[in-house]
Amino acid sequence: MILARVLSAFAKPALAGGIVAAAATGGWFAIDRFHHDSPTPFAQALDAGPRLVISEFGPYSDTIVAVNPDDVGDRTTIATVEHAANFGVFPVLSPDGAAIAWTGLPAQAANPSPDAPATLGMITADGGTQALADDVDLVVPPVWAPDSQSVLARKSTTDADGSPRFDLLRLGRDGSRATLTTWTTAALFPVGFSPDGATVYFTTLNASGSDLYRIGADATGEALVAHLADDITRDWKLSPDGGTLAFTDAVGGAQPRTVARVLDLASGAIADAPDPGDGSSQLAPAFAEDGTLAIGALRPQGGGTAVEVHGDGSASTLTDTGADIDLPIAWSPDGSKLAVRSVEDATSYSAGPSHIDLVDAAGGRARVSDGADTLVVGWMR
Amino acid sequence: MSRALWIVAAAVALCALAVALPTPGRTQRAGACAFAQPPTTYETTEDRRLYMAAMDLAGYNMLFPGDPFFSQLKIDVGPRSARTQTNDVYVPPTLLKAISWVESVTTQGAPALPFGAIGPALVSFDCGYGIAQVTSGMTAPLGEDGDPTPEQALVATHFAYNIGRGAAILIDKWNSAPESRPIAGIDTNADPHIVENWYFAVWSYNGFTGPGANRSNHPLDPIYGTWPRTPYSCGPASDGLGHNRSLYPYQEIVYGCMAHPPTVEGQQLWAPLPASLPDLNNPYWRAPLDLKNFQFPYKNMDIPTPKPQHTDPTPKPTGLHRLAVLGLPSLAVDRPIVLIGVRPGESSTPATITISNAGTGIVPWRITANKSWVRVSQAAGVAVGPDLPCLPSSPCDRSAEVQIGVDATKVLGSDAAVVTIEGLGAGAAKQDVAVFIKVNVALGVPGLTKN
Repeated sequence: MILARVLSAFAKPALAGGIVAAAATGGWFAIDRFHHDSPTPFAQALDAGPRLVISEFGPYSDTIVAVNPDDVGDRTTIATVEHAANFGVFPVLSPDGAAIAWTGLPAQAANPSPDAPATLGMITADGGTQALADDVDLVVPPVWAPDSQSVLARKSTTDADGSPRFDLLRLGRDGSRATLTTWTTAALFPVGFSPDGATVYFTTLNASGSDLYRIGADATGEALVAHLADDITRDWKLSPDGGTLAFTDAVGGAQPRTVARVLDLASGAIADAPDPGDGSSQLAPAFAEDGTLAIGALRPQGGGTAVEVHGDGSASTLTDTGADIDLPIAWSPDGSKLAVRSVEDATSYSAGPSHIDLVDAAGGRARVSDGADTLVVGWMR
Repeated sequence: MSRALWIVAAAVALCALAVALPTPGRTQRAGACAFAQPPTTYETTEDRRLYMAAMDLAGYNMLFPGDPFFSQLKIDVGPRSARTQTNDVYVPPTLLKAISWVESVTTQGAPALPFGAIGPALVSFDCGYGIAQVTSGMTAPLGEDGDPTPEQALVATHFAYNIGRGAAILIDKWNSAPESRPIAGIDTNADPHIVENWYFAVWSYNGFTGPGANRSNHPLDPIYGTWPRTPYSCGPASDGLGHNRSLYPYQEIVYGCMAHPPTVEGQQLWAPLPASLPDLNNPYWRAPLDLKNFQFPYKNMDIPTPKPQHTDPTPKPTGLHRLAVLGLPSLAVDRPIVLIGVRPGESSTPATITISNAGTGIVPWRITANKSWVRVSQAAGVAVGPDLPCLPSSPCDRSAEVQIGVDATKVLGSDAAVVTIEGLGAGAAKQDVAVFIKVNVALGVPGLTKN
């Protein structure tokens, strides 16, 4: 079988009404893909069983690769995405695994800056490419709807008086575009959808702290869900059943540390995640499909553990790597493996090199990347 | 083709040429930054030794001492309650080198210009010029009659002045404390010799932005990875560190680059200089960086020096280093008078002058004219001495050939103007070129012209 490698002009094949060509931003993203009648490598990987999808950063292009979790040397390159020099893209796999949306700066951008308008692009397992917007924020990754048909993105602009304006956009693969809400008094961050796709959650951040809001996917009924903290919160993760939100809170005061908390969306009650009690900072929560929550715990004296928090509130150590720490990223669909960022020589104030590993409860560990520049895009089922 | 048609075609071509010659900074202004077209500059060889030497000088305020634009006269030290000024103006040279790499890959020329060459200067989309990507004061021509100023020409064309201006801007950010910026180093008298004490100044060089801005440089901003982060590196991709700038605030990129320098031609561009970042899990640093404190004038954000602290071991250069960087430039223009043929309202035939450097180093120059109808092909540029190397395959016109023309639609008859070629900087000099108009009047008979 002969495969012809084609550098296709991004977005052109799939341009439809309302879809914006990336060329409008001054350049095209180029998608390297195998153009052939047979299934694309993306489709082949999708049919091959569970795969961890990662994005390997390069100075001018990122390579998206599907990795066999049972044999991490078994890798399939799905796409290469060109971007502005030194500014990688933020790719996210759709829930059905058949599409990847990302934000990125156009490759031709001269002297790029992360506050320049970014393109929100997409590739699909059938080899299709789209550009859904050319004016979103680079540093806020897309958030998929459960039906894999639309994504949330943030667009920020500056008004004439210098004050910032943040739009929460919903961008459909059919070319639709809707502004769900606009904020001028706080920065907003899209968090996720309810399992039925009817409700969108987003957080806001200003000098008063962090709040969680919900709004209908049809842009109606915006309402405060809970005041998360007076500090900066981050790493917001909705549980698969849509009942809780895990997040971390950078607590100040005499003994500052990062604390993981869980919000019950129905009642608005916030509870602390199980605390090792040794003053550890709790980092990077990640839900498994059965509701198990993994959290990284960084000891004050350095090093740390990855902890599993079970449904009954009990906790158990998943990994303990001495002077290093595993920061949870994403569980495999069957919950048997956890992708982590393994940070060497981590202390409360510094960190060494890092890489992506796959770990399991039996102590298994496989290195997926050798460097810190790899991002996890998601899991194919 | 008949002779008449040839004449018409030639006239059209001449008109087109006349239109193509911009006046000094007067055309194509909209959104065009300080210069309508990027002026020429000299790009050194890939080892960038010349630029590194210039940054050593700038760090010790030996590049343009006493010049209020290309250096600073004072630097502030001390905590908020006892801030004083000192003449010991200093920036860690290695910090300047890291900033220059992050800003421009330490290049003065446009990306397409090879090393060891003369050609267009680097200009970013937001009017950032050269090695230090100087944006302040470069977004529009600020001189008389809408011309670029001498300072703007120096920033755009000469690496040393660009570096000097970049250092001056960085020190200005430092000196913005305590009025509009916090102080780093309240436990070390805010000593500028400690690289960690430049934390807020470096943050400000890119924009003192925090949570709520679309481009936040606040280290706690949720858009960045969990703290502590694997450091950023300008070193090889195989070093296990971070290289994706999308994942770091600006000051962490600069400090990471300083500690993990780029390798060029098999050599690290500078000796690694580690620097500590504020420990966000320690109340001494975490509390000042609290979200509620990120409010102008940031008076509650002062921090102790992040520990362990470091100083830059770069030795102080000597006067000979300055001579090697700046040379002894000397402006030379090949003629004092030019004669330009004009058909009023129709076309003109431009004349060419040659600007060269009879000395060494670089002569940055700019051209101004005392009549609005004068058009020149280039408003500013450089003439480069024989001591600065060019690579064999690179463009290297050490002397600049500038076409002087007129706007034929604005010339009604005999007229004259003076074009002033101004050598800037160390080779400061002026030479006037008289421009005389020779009016050609076309008679009605094709092919005949009466002068």
